[in-house]
Amino acid sequence: MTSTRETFRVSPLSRTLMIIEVALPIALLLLGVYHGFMQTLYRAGIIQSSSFAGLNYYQGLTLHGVINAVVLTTFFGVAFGNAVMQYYLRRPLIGWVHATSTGMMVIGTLTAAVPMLLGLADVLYTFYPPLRAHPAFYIGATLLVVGSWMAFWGWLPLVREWMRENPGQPLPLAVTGMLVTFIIWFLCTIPLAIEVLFMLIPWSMGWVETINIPMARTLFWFFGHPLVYFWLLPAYVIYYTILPKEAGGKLYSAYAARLAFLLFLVFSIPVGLHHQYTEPGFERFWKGVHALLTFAVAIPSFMTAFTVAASLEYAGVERGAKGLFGWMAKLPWFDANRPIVAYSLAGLLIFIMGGLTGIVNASYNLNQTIHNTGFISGHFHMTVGGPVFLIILGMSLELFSQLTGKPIQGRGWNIAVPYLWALGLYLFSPAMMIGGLLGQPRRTNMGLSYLDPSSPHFRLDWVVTSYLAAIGGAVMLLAFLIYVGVWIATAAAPAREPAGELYFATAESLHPDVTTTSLVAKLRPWLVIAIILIIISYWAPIQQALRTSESAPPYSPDNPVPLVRIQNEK
Amino acid sequence: MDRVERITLMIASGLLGLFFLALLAAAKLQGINVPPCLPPSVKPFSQGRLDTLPDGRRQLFFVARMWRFEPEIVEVPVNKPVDIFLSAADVTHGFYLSWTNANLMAIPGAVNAYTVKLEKPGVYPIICHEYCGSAHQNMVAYLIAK
Repeated sequence: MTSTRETFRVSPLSRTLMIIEVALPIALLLLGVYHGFMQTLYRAGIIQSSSFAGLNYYQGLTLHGVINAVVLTTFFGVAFGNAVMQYYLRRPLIGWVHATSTGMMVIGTLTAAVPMLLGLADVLYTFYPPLRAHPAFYIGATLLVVGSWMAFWGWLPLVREWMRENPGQPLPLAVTGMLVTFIIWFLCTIPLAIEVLFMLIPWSMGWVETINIPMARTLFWFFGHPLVYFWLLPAYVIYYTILPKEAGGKLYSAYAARLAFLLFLVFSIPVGLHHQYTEPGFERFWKGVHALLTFAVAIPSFMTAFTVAASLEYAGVERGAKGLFGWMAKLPWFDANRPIVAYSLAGLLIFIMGGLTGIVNASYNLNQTIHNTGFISGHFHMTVGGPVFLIILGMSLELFSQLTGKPIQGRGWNIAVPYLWALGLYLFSPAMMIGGLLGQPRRTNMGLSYLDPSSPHFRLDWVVTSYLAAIGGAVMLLAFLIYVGVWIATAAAPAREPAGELYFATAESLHPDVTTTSLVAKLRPWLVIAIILIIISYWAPIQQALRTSESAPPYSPDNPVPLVRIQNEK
Repeated sequence: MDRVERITLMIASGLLGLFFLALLAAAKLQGINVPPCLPPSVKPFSQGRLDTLPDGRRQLFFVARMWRFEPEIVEVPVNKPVDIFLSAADVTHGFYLSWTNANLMAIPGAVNAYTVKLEKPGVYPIICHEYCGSAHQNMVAYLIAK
């Protein structure tokens, strides 16, 4: 099998760097997932204290969000993008760019980890001012992001070279997908960079005294929603290219897949105000505009649902399925030699609910019933904690195996991981969402008040859902521990194949792909529309945020007195 | 794109359009809306209070601070409109009047507002649902409807 398939040999330098890019975040996940489970215990009142084993609830919540949602996803986006560019463009990465990029990301992560572990940055992954973190937290996050920009810039010359040498051919679909992912990432991290470099860092250093809160929040969510598409699109690339092939079929339509990516480029950024529906200071009209655009960005996700389902149906029929739904039974759900199929399909089972609940959140006035309740956490664990997380786990292990030449060990255990995770999640997320509808707040150490029977704030009506969420959390922790076991067994096994041979199964398109003259084969016109839409949708909200009459001094999370006054009194 | 794809795309977009119209209808016809944008002349306040207007309408001014609301316990009549105004004295806080649509962010530098009419007598907890520091989980107030 190995001899007939086309592989790409990675240079020794890039090989080492890519192993770091996939292994470091998985190692950090031990802490991130551990505290995810611990939060379910605190929230159920099983733990009734502010900290456990030396880790404070909110400190752990910060680590959980930063490691799982930012560090893991950014490293994976870069590692997978590096692999896709090398494999499909058949060119090595530029060595010094790759080394600088990975180096900045690693140093940035470690720089931000120190204040988080010391309890000097208990500000959660949204770091809303005027709660203030140690400056090293913001500086580390900046280095991580700039390192990921470097990776993206390093791909561009390779893409240009390929286009010169292959006139008349559209870019490979996976390359287009990863380019769109990183164009979105680059565009949306600009407002984040403005918030961090020009507002938060000078303010946390004490160079400026106060900060405009609505403006900081607007810049954060300018970044914060496209961020979720940065998480999601690498998974879509795998759903469109690898999954149909591994399932034994073809991609239903490469044209639709390309169009979906381009629609994400257009609609994924001008939507951030849907996180700010319940905030003062923005005109309802603009909240409504962002609601409408958020509905528009659901369309490429519906297209993806259709294309992936049609591709899987085709695969099932190729495998001899009969009847309307027979194809579902014929899919290789439990093929231990194609673990990415198990990870992808379990992810899809979760994502159906994740996508639909996302539309609830986007729904303008409907959001009044669920904003900042457990419903939100329930929802996004079915997106970023569902297909995104599972695809990252499955593909990271696959890349690790290819880069080290070590075949995956414990293959049966490996394909149990995604289904066990899905089971745990289908307990956890609905429990969180029903709890949210009953009024449970998210991001709250409920064991100290609402779930403590001796507290005057005790809420009997929240007990059942909190316990169900904890049971779900335990099942998810178990799934992750099995995954770690598989990873350790793989790392400990001897290399049996040549190391650093990349290979991605790639589906052909059933319906014709685009020609280079098609609008869908181009990126620039879509990028121009995206930028115009961003300017239109954010022009007025930014003016409105700037009208704020008072700005705020920094606060420590454990003292109601502003930090400046505390320092003056010393 | 083939025919099935075009049809699916149209159905999906049509459904989303229909949902969006339903939201607008709820906002315009039933008055279920997101908080309004008060003019910049409405300045943040630092003391909580309850005012009764001549027509019996209540105006309730809440200040959110680390880690309590002011007022902490307040009584309002059932079936009368209550205008809630919300200011943050230090960091960002949340404000969720249980079992109602009054779900608001308290943002330093801006005043938030929402009007509710409580139809059932009872005790309605107001929960801070935005992380605001180490004692965030203890930040609760109670609205008593009589």
